[in-house]
Formats: sequence, structure tokens, C-alpha cells
Amino acid sequence: MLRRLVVVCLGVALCLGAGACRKGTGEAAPAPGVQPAPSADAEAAPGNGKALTVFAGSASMPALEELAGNYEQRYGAKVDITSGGSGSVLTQFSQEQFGDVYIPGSDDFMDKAEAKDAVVKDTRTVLVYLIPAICVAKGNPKKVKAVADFAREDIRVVIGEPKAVCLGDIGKWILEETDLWSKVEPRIASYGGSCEDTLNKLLLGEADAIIGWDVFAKQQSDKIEAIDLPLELSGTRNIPAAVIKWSEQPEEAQALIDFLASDEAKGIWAKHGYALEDPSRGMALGGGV
Amino acid sequence: MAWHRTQSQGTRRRRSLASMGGWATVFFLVVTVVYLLFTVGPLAGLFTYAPCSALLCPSTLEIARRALGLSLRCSLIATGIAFMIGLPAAIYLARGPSRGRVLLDSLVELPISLPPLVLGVALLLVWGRRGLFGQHLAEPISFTATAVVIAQIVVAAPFFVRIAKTSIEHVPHSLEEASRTLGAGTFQTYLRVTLPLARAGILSGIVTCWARAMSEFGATIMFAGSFPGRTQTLPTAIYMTMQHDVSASVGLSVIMLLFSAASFVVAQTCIARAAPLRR
Repeated sequence: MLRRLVVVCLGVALCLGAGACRKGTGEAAPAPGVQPAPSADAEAAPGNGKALTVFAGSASMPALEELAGNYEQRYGAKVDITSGGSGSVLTQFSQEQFGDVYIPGSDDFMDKAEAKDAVVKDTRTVLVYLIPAICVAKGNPKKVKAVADFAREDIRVVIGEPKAVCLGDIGKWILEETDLWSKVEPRIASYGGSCEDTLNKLLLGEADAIIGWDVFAKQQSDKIEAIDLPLELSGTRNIPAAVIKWSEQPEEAQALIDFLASDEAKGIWAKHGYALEDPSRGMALGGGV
Repeated sequence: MAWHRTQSQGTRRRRSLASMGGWATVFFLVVTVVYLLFTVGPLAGLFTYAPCSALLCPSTLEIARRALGLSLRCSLIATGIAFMIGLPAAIYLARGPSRGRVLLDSLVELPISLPPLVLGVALLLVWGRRGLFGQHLAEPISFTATAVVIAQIVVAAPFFVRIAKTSIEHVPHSLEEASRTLGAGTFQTYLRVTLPLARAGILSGIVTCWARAMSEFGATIMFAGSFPGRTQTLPTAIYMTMQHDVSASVGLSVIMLLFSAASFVVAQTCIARAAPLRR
């Protein structure tokens, strides 16, 4: 019986290995939805036909997947996107010195990428803006109206991890500016390890209120609602894109970034709830954020 | 003679356990139920979070089809390779010279104690495009399906080796000696005496290895990334989807739960038939 098992395992390994583990990076199976086949009247691809590799933070994924599909359909150029924590993907492509475009979830990670000399600085392009807001469960069961309510005993508060997550820096700055940090900080239920982790704590009922992005409420309007912050407290961030320094097709990578920042793309970003303008333009962030 | 004594002692122990009485059975049953409620019970919570809409959403099903297919292919390959290189290692650990055994055992089981993310970083540093060995490869391995398989082997193979080694150790030496006395060589003795007697443990080790490979996440996402259709396994798909759509993520989790449960039922049935317990 064991002999039969050995033979079966060998056979399975050989057959599947021949079919599944083709060498090289261009082995993606066609995946409808994200990577549709180029349409018959696709414009001339702005490039050499090689797939573009994008390392993206999770914050931009809903719109980015749709935009990548549109780009492929329009130009017939394949776009492979891997996403994760903005810091993790930065480490991955920096270590490998591989990839074409970096799109972190917020501009502070692009600052880190520039400091590491991992992206071409002149190619940095703002795609959309992220506006902080108080996010609560749909229906606002705890009747949170302003930041001052974070000091209430019955409110479980979650903010991003300061110093590690941009939402955490912003959350702490807002609470410090409103003289609430010393009252709220001891009662913070937990810290989000990322922007999305902070959101998930609200969605899963671990928090009554978070300081998140207003786009959270727009993307999950059936579960979350946002309460605007006063303009003087809205430390707007942005989602940028840049060409990776080791890209073997920088012109094609720039063409993709130009497409993502184009007027046509703006409609799709707006559809997914991202802000196209910076409401705090002219107002500087304070507190070292 | 010694083997027969061991056999009848074992049979007597099993009979005495079964005949200890209703209270003992009740006690062990209650503790087992508590154990299951603690470890498996929380999975029921997945079904309470918008289960039907999440499961039936076309985009969720498409992600699941793609990711589950890749997970299955890579985990079966990884398990096959782990079996081929892990079984000789298990035999050596169980039957080899005792000198250095403790160190070897510790090395073999070291990956089990490390976070998979650490293993993924190590793989990237060694086999990545600029890695110690990876820089000399004609074709890059990182961020390909090959990287998925390698990550799964590194994480899951130690479980197979550990279980197989323990199983082989419990095969009485006297039987192997008798086999050699009758003229069988070393390999023949292992193939026809040792491994058949240890088959229950080896099969369990294979199932455990496969299950661990299927659920592998940390090393995979660091070494292979999460490219949909190429390196995005079901666990990484669940994590990625969690970032922007909790319902879809829960839907994928339910799909993985149902698939895993069905697979385990089939596997345990096969093991029970291949190596029936004497009761």
C-alpha cells in the first residue's frame, strides 16, 4: 500500500508540476474581471508588451483593480498587481530590486520610498486625496457627533498605531489639538496596525468610533457612516504613485501612472469614494504629523 | 515473543479503557466537547456574518475559484515533494546513529517554532533575485508559483517529518532484526516491514503536511506576493479581500472552511481504511 502511495505522490507531483509551476514571471493564468483580454480595437500599447508589475498598498485596491482592467483593455498591456501593507510591499520590491510602479496607501510611505532611493522622485504623482473623518457604525448607535465625544466613558475608541500608521499619527494629532489626548489615550481599546485594520475593528464591533478616512464610509455605506471633522482638523493625505527605480520599462510605467491620474480615471476613483480635491489646501498640518 | 507480549498488553490496555465504565466515558466526552467548542466553535461565527450574500457573490466565487485552484495545485506538489525528501529524513532521524540526534531533531523542527513571516523573509534573502543563491539562477523564483510551492514546503514539511519519525520510532526493532536475519537488506526491510507498520502515522503526517501547506500565508505572501491568478492562494486572497471588503473575505473563509472539512473527512476515511485501529 505504501508503495502505491509513493507512486501516486510521484505521479501527482510530476503532473501538477508540469502544469502549474511553469518557470518565469509571465506565467499568470488569465483571470477574468481584473485582467480581461485586450479588446479587438485596443490602442497601440504604450510599451513593449511586457507585463507591468505594480506593488500597491491595500487602500487603493478597489479602484486600482478596475482601472488596471480598463488599462489592459484599452492598451492590451498586462498589469500584474500585488498588494499588501504599504511597508511590506516596499520592503519586497526594494529587496528584490524588481517592479515597475509603487502605489502606497498614503504619502508617508512614498516619503519612505524616496528616502530609501527606491523610486524615481520626479515621477511622484498624486492620484487621489484621503480626508480624515470620524467613522461610526451605520445609524450611529452611540450618537457620536464630534471628537469631544471620544472622551465619553461609553465610547470604545480605536485609532491607528501612531508612528506606524499615518491614520494613527493623524488621530493622535487631532486628539492633541483638541486637548483630549490625555483623557482618551488611557481608554483607547486598541490600535490598528494599518488603515484597513483600523476600519475592520469598527466593522467587527471592536470599536464604537474610529478616526478613519471618509472614503471608508463611501465604500461601505451600508455599514459605516462618517462624521466630518472641522477643516482645521482635517490633515489631508494622498495616495501617490511613482515609478520604481529598478523598473526595466520606466516609460511604460509612467504611462500607467499618467492613465491612473487622467480625467478618465478620476471618474472611477470618484465612483469608489475617493476625494479628487484637497479641502485643506493652504492649511498646513501641525504637530509634526 | 517480546512483540507478542507488547501486542497483548496494548490490546488489554485498550479493552480496559473501554470497559472503565460510563463515568469515564462521560468525562472524556465532556472534555472533548469543551475542547471542540474552544477550538472549532468560533468558526461557526463565520456563518453569522452575511453568509449567503457573501458566498453567492459572483466576484467572490471567481476569486475563490482562482485562488482555491492555485492553493490546491501548489499544496499537492509541496506535499509530494515533502514526502519524497521528508520520509528518508524521518527514517534517518528515527533509525540513524544517535550521535548528533538532538541537534538534528532540533534543526528539523526549527521552522515549526518560527513565524512563517520570518521564513518568508529568509527565503527572499536567499532565493530572491538578489539573494545568496537566487542571484545565480537563470530564471527568478520569487513572486512566481514556484515560490509558493517552496514556501509551503519549508513551512509544512517539518510537520510531516516529525509525525513520520515518531511513527517509525514505535516500530519494534525486533521485527527489523528478524527481517535482516531472514536475508532482507536495509532498504528492503524499511520498505516491506518498517514503513507498512508505520503507515498510519505516515498517512497522518501527509494529511497534516497538506493541510498546513493549504493554509500557509506568511511565508507565501512575503516570498511569492499576492498576484491574482499567479501567486494569490486562498489564504492570501482572504487577507487581501479583508482590507476592503469584510463580507467577501468572510465568504472566502467559509468556502475554505467547507472545502477543508470535506477534505479532512475524505482523508480520515482513507487513513482509517488503510490502517484500521484494533479496538
